[in-house]
Parts: sequence; structure tokens; C-alpha cells
Amino acid sequence: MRTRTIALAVAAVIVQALGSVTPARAADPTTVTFLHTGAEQTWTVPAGVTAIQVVLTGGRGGTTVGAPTPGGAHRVAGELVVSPGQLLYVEVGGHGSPGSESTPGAGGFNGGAAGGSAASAGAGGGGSSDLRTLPRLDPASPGSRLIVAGGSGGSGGSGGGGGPAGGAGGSASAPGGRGGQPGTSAAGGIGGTGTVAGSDGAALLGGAGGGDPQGGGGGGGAGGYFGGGGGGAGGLGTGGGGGGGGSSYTGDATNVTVGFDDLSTPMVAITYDPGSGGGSSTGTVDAVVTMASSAVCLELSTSSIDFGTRRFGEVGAEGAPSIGITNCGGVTESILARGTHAVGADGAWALVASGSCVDATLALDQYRLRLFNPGTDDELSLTTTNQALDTMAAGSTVNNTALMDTPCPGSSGAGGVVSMQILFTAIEEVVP
Amino acid sequence: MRRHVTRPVVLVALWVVALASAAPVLGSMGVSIDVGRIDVSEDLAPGGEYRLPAFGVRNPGTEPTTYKLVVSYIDGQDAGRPAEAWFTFEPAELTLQPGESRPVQARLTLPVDSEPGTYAALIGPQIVSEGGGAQVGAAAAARLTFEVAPSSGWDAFLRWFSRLIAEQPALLVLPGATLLLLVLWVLRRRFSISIARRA
Repeated sequence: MRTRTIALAVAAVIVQALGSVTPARAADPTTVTFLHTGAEQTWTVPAGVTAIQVVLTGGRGGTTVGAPTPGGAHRVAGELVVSPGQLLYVEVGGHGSPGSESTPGAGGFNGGAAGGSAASAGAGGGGSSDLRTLPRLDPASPGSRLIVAGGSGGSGGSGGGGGPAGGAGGSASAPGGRGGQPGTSAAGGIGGTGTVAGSDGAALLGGAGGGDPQGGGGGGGAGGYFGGGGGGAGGLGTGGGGGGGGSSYTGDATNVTVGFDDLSTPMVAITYDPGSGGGSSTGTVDAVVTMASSAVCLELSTSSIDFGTRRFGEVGAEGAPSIGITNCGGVTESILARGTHAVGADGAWALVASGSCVDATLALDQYRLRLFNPGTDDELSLTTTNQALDTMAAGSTVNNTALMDTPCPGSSGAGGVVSMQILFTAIEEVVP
Repeated sequence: MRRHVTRPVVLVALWVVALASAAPVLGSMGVSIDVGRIDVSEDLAPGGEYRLPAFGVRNPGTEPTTYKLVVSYIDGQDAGRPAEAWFTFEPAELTLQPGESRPVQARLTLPVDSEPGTYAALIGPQIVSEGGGAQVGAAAAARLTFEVAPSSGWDAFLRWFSRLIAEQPALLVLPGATLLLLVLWVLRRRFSISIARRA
């Protein structure tokens, strides 16, 4: 009886162990949303994921005084086949800027064209949103687009409203400028006629609105698979035509819907099932996560600094050059900083956050590194762990000067060379 | 007895190092990661191995740059600090041309004796510095948070054993043979089996 119990227990252990080799799991779909940042964003297809559902919304055209509000941008949804680990480039279109008196509105990011310069300037066209497989820097990038949501055209100055995605721009009252034609699946929209015709649209790009210093400027064409044509300019006392809308594209996507977005918030949302690839054969489990997709980017102006030849006990020895830190991402970032201990052939110094040789609170073989921001007079004493240095808006740059308090007299390393590092780390903004 | 320095001593000559190493990059040296935050939404079990979402690393600068994947922490963070050894990255180091991006796969392996609780770390690419002297480095990181669930030692052992068997199925031969012998032994004791040679 006892023997049988032991045998059954051993069998149960083995069965239980085998049963947990590939844990069964049911994960909820994960959605990653990209908003407009004015720059290219990327997304890497997670391991095991072979299909994604995407929703894209293009940018809306800008407004002008005395012209109807532009039509809406397209909202395109569909399903795409992807490969695990594949890197996709996400372009989220921007809204076109409004025309302001004689200042034309700029086009939105990703193909929106500027309005025409005029006494009553045209507004910029909205940019398109798309997913593609090649980065913008690559000349073949527009041809790698998988799915596109077209933007809407910008309104003409005191004239016609911008055309909705896939639609023609409105024309000003005769004899004002005519609206630009929409982009199609095969060609850019033709620019509207007027005293100065709007430019034709092209692949991805809208055409610029025509400009006439005495009348109304044409609205900029919208970005799209093919961009809309720019609105024609109106002469003295007449308005400009609205820009044409951009076309959308669904390529090999399935279960496609194309409509208009009432909220008109440009974005790209990607939804996937974390478990769609099945279990792992190596005992590794895909962790179920929520992710913030905002790209974090950091650029430095230099890779090394020079403290020169220094004496023991110096306070605030300045390193050159100063260190320019740039947030090259599209979101606000928190910048962290830390240092390392200093090592050399003849000695090593420990990095400490406080202490001074004057009052003997800095022990032998200890040194300090500080970062000083001359713009704000802020100073941070570094340790070997990341500390918050600054919060930086997208595209901003700050300069910091590195200061060193050398070790007290009697420390090791006399006459030698020591090495250390100051490390800056960018992360998504930490909100208290 | 320590020899005290009573006169000014030239001790640091970093400019010599600077001359001996590559010239500092005065243009743009940068790093970018396409994920800002990764929050693991389920409790993780000690002894388990978990694949985190792949993330993209991009070189936003103007020079070819080599990056290594690193783990770091924020000073004074409330959450626990997962050991660097818990993480593996594939690739662990990569060189990118200006504007180039490449995906990186991260894995998290929890020891069987990992303490339950909340953990946080910064994971991401860091520019590999070359030469000596005073180097300035840049990194971009995603904030990773996860929770380790309480687990008995037996559960953790089973999880570790499961992973071991999944990676090396040949190890099942020994316990399988043991089980078979046990079963045969029990049957032999319970039922008298006599196999005689045919005359």
C-alpha cells in the first residue's frame, strides 16, 4: 500500500511538472496609440504577433476668416499581416495651420501643403497618417506605405472651404479662385484655377495654394496616398479656393472601413493579441504588458570633456566644453544624470554627493562631480545612481557645465590619469 | 604610513588621454528608444522566464554609433531594484548607421528565490564610450515596472523544473525511467508474475 502511494506521488509530480511546461494563458488585446508629434515614430511588432488591427486618422485642414470650415479627414481601419520583430514606421499627420491675414498657414506634418500668400492668406492642408516599412529618410519610403488615412484641405482666404479627404476644395464666389481637386488612388489632385493656380498634388504631398497679394490665397492641398491640389488664388476683392483632400489607401489590409472622423484627432492606433503567436517551446512566457509608445530621444553635443591638469583639493574645476543636451523626441522628457567612480593606473576615487576638504568632510580618495546649468543656476551633485536633472520639452536644448571637486591632498593618483563618466539618461516625463 | 602631499601636485592630465583617444564627437551623438514605459499587467512568478515586448532602438545622430543594452535605476525609487542579471537582451550590443533602427528583444528571468513585491528598472540602449578620460554618455530608457507574486518554494521549483525540461527534454529520460521501474515494481509485488522459459 505504502509503495503504491509513493509511486502515485512520483507520477503526480512528473505530470504536474509536464503540465506547467507551457502555461496556458489568455491575454486581453493590447492597444498602442500614437498621437501627432511632428516626427516619425516607430513600433516593433512583439514576438508571436502576426496580425494587427489598425485605425488611422488624418489631419484636418486649417481654417481662415470668411471661409467655411474644412471637411473632415479620413478615419481608416483595417487588419494587416505582420511579422514578429518587424519594425514599422508610424507617421501621424498634423492639422494644417490657419491662415492669418497675410500670413499663410503651414501644412500639417506628413504631406500637408501650405496655403497661398495673399492679402487674405490661405490655410495649410492637413497631413495624412500612415504605417510604412521604410523610414522617411529612405527615398523609397512613400512606396512602402501599408495603409493611409488622407487629410483634408485647407480653406482659402475669404473663399472656399477646404475639401474633405477624398473630396474637392470649395470654390470662392466667382470670379474668385477655384478649389483644388482631390488626390485619387493613382494621381495627385489638380490645382484649382485662379489669378494664380494652386499647385498639383503628388504622391504623399498636397499642392501649395496659389498666392495673390491683392486677393485671397488658395488653401493648401492635403497629404494622402496622393495629395490634393492647392486652391487657386482670387484677385482683388475675391477669395481663394479651398485645397483638395488627400486620398486614402488600404493596400493588402482586410476588413477595411473608410469613413470620416468627427473628432478629427490625428492618430494611429495598433491593436494586437499578445497571445496570437501561441505558446513558447522554450518555457518562456510572453509577459502581458501595457506600453507607452512615445519615443524617447536624447542627443549630446560632445562625447568627452577635458578637466585639464588639476591639483588636489580644487573645488569647482570646470570641464570643457559645456554639454549640450537636446530632447530629439516628440514628447516631454525627464533627463536623469549619474556619474561613475574614477579609476586610473595609480589610484581610484569614489564619487560622493557631498563633502569638502575645507572642513574635512571629504575623505581621502573621494571626489565630487556636479552639473551646473548657467541658464537657471541649478546645480546637481552626481552620485552613481540616476537622479533627476531636468525636464525638457520636445526639441529643446539645455547646456550644463561639469564641475569637479578633486580629492583632498594625500589621496592616490598623483601624477596619473584617471577616467570617469557622466551619463545622461532620457526617459518619458515622470509626472509626480 | 600614508605620505602626505605638502606641495601642489599635478595629478590629473585628462588632455593627454583626449589626445590619445578618438577626437570627441562635436556633432550629434544620440540615442532613441520607441517605447516610453512598459508596465507588466500580471503578477510574475519566481522561477519564471518572461519575454517582454520588443522595442526599437534608433540612431538619431549623424555618426555610426554602437549601443549596449543596459539596466539602471532611479535614485530613491520606492520599488525594488531587479538585478541586472535577471535581464537578457537580444542583441546585447548593436551598431547603427545614422537614422537606422533595429528591434531588440528583452527577457526577464526571475530566480526561484526572488522576493515578492513591486520592482522597477530603466532598460534601454546606452552609447558605448571609447577611450579614457572624462567621457560623456547618453542613454534612452523605457521605465519597466512589474510585480513578483508570492510563491512557495515548491511552486518555484516546479516552474524552474518545467523550464529546464522545456529547454532540455532529454532530461525527462531519467525521471521517466524511474517512474516506469516503480510501476513495474509495484505490479510485481501486487501480482505474482512468473515467466518461465519454454521447455
